[in-house]
Amino acid sequence: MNRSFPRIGLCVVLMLVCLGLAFSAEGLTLTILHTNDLHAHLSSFPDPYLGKEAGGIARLSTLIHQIRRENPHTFLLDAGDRFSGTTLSTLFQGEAELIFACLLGYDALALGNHDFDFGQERIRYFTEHQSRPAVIAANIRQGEGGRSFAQPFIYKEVEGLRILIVGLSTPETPSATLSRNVAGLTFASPCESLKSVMRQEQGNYDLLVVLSHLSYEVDRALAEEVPGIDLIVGGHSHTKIERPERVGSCLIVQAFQWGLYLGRVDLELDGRRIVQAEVQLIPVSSQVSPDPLPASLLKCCYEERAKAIMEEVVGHAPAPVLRQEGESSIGNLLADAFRAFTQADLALYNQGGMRADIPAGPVTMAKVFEVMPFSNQVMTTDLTGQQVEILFDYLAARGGGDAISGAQFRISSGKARDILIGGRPLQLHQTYRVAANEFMMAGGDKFEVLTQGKNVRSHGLDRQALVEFLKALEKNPQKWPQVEGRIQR
Amino acid sequence: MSQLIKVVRERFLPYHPGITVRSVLTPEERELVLEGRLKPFDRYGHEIGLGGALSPGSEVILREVERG
Repeated sequence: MNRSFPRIGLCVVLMLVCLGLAFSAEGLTLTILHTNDLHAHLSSFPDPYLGKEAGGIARLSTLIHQIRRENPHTFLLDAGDRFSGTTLSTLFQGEAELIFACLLGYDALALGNHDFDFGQERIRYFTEHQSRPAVIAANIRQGEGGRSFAQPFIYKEVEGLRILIVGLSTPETPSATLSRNVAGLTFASPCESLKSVMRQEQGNYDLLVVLSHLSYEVDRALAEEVPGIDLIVGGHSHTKIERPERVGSCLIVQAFQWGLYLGRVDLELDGRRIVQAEVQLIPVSSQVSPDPLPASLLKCCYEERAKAIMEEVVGHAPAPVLRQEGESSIGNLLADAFRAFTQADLALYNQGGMRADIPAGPVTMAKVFEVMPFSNQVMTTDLTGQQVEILFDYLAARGGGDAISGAQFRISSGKARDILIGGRPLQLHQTYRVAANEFMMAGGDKFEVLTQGKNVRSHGLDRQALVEFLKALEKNPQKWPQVEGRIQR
Repeated sequence: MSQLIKVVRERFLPYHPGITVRSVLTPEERELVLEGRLKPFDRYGHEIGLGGALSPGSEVILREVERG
């Protein structure tokens, strides 16, 4: 808590108290409601613990209104990653998430790495206007040392109590979204950015709340490094904090993921001193009645439109695109889509990740979701030629059923031979950029060599890569991938 | 802080930005989490979601869900 009130201000306050006219935070209870990592879970969905219709914006709305009625001194905050993770988000590019943030009356939103997934334009209205909700980020700048991308902080005032709310975003954002989405932005140290705001605003606030998309581990380190934070409302690590967690005098909260719980912090204040803090996670279960207004808006404006969009044709397959033993046309399609999306030297797609065939004829969005149901990120890593050789030996040992793009090889005695990358023999000392899904990049299916690469980056959702590639094929149907001897056995 | 992530059964993975709980579990483990038979936890004993971002030094611990 900031105690450096100017002396003159203190005198005025004392006088007012004596006159019985003062503002008084005495006996005041401030309620902070919080969500994080909603990942576009606007509709209710089945959860093994909370029932068949858990979460969802309409049930959240019911709880929020109920608590606001109980205590008018209630703020609603979101710690980032509202976008990406559901069909609605992919189809409407984050529009619905922002509309419902307005409707529910959020006071402030932090920017998560996934909030850049649909580009800066999608959030620009909120970053350039003094809007509500306020989008806050103290450590994102336009260029080196340029002006802030969004408001660094906001103030809220309750009965004379001034609450400074500072937004912080993960500096790893540029590695976790397509580079075009963060073009021209720099992500500074959250710790230094916060200290800078605290210096600048010293004496102007009574309570300091950090709205952080940094992860629980980093929030703890931040609380240790920067004394004077009263509360960190966190996100990014999807942590379910059910009991009060403190580092020094700083309380840290986070409300799991996907809107399954509404976080609630009740701060009981005596003057400017927090005398008691209660923390709870309120289940957004099937037992909570949906608020009719957001429920009907969601249904008519988004869910029904989504149904229609799922029927949208995004490409035309000239022949059946099938999973099969060894090299397959579906594998080649998916690997080619990844390579085109990332501009990598070569791309891989694991056999187990090819979930459906595509019949000849129109390819709908629904079919895209069937082929790629996992919502994996497309990632790239830089491997040396020697590591690529190990990788191809492993592909050979697996029997050649995984797909490759931008390369070809022959399997002989369980080893990869005659490896060509971009039509040229593999150079052991050259560096190659390799694309794959996040599962493979983390060593899934024992692709351990992929974990040894450098310069790892996320580029966006796998389905986005496929849809963009299918649309490009509409202009060049002769380029539809076929089984063409990329892997010879 | 260690640049490794400790995953279930003493398995260590190198950290990279964007690595999530889901991406360090096997497909079978993920399925069991989705079915509500396993839960992932961090080293502080807090449950973590499948989409949760990991940090250098993170640990992912899987626990069976007790059936009431």
